[in-house]
Amino acid sequence: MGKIFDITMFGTLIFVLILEFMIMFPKKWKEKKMILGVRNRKEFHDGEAEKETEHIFDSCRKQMLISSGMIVICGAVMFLLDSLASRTFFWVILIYLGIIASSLSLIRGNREMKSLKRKIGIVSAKGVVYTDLKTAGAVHGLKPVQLIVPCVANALILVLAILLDMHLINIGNSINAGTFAGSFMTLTFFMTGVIVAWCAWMMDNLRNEVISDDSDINTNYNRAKKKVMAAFAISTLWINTIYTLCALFITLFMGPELVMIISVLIYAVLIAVCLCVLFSGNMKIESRYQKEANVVADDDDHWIMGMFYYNPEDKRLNVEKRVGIGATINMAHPAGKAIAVVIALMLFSSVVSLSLVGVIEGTPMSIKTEGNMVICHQLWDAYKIPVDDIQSVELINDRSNISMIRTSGMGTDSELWGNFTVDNETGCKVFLYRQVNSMLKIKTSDGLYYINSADEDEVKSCYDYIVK
Amino acid sequence: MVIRIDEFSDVPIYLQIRNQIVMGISDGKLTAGEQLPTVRALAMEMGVNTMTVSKAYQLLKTEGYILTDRKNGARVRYEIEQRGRISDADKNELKRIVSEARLSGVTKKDIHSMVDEFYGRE
Repeated sequence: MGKIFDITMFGTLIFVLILEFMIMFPKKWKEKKMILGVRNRKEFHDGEAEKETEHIFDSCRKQMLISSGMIVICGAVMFLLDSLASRTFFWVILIYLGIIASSLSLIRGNREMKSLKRKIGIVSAKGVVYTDLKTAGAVHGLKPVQLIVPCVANALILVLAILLDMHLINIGNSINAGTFAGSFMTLTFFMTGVIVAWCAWMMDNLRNEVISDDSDINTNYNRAKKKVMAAFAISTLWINTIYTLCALFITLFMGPELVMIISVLIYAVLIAVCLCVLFSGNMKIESRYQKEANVVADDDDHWIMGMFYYNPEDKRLNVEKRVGIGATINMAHPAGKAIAVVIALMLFSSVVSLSLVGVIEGTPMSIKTEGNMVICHQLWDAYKIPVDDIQSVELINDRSNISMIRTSGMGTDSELWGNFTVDNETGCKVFLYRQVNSMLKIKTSDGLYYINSADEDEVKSCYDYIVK
Repeated sequence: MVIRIDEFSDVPIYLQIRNQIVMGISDGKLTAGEQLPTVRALAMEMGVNTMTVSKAYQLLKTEGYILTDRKNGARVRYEIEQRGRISDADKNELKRIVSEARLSGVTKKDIHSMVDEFYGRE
């Protein structure tokens, strides 16, 4: 299982790095709309400026190649680490580092291109906005129904999952019905679908770009781009909906986590294929229309480091990204500031929560008896079982034949902690250190507990205490 | 028709919109009966307040260049009133431009050829 996780993360890392490299450093930079986050102009294509642009482009490309190579080597080293929690932590850090490393070459290139622009005497036309009256609000690639239908289908799957969990309907012998694992999982995918639909709708309503003084060229260019984005959104939504149904079936009727992991991998590969089609389609459109572009809206100065849009004069919240595909926020907009803070907090909390998992895993699990209570403790008290409430207790010396399927909680290489389905018995509370083979099976009015400790003697003494 | 708005210009944005639409109608880029974008769509495209676009449309309607109604939105008028004279405000503006041109050494002939170019030779 750990190896599959490592291979998935390694594959994701390489996919992200290659994609970023291809977007930032296309083969024919002269045909692209942007060059290192600065608008590509004819002035960059002649004489000394051309040489300097090529030099900046090449040196930044080299910088990104070196940093990406180093990140890939670090990724390969990750296979040597033992603990799953520490590997997860370092993988996430490594993916963040990959994004930062590629951003560093963009930041450098953007700064150098802006200074080249000043050097060759291009005066900034900050604050000038072009709008085509023919395309304004009239060019779309999506119809609302194309987004609504897959979302409604996903909502129906969610309703089915809830009905199965509430035992209002029964289909075959489900091992996880009643645990609400299927409902939570379906809800997650339903929410993903809603977010994708909302983003697609937002992208479809973005400002239409003016690249030419000919309205027909502007219309065709914007329509082509929106159609490619719409095709991506619709296919992603349907993949998400179909996968939700498959995942619900796997959760309810198939036990092993391995099946789920493989199905998630297939889902991720399909989404990655859609992404590649989107990028390639978009690049073709940019190359095709760059030849016909004769209007240059110079808003480079509003783009901090070529990545962050800050324009207090612009009342829009969403703007098209400069590097890559999609939209970004106007950081000068009040809502944009709030979103930026939320994103920063989310990134920070992901690192903190992973660190916490690492600390938990590093703390030994123990069970102790205190004041007529059996307490399962690791960093904090996980479960407190009143001895008076215990109906029966069993000391199991070999737990290798007992099947445990996680419903919620933690399942790492060294421990299991949370709600599990144990030998087809749902809602069991598990607190187990994997290296110790013996455990206590405790039956209370609250349900079944399977617990042990990092110290085998503690398990036996606890058993003796309860029996007494 | 492409319009260009300068956020840092001394001319208010609503006037820039109004002026460029008038110029578009005059040189044929906007034809009679042509649909104009809605206030909301144009404001979103330009990244300006809807009130700014609304003010520009209101002005164009008052001056008789466009028609607006709830059903069809804004359209260029089929028949624009032929007053046959320049308003006093425009006369003053033209006077200022000619004065500045004379002071900077532009000849009368150059001004005439420029007027011919903008007006369209018949």
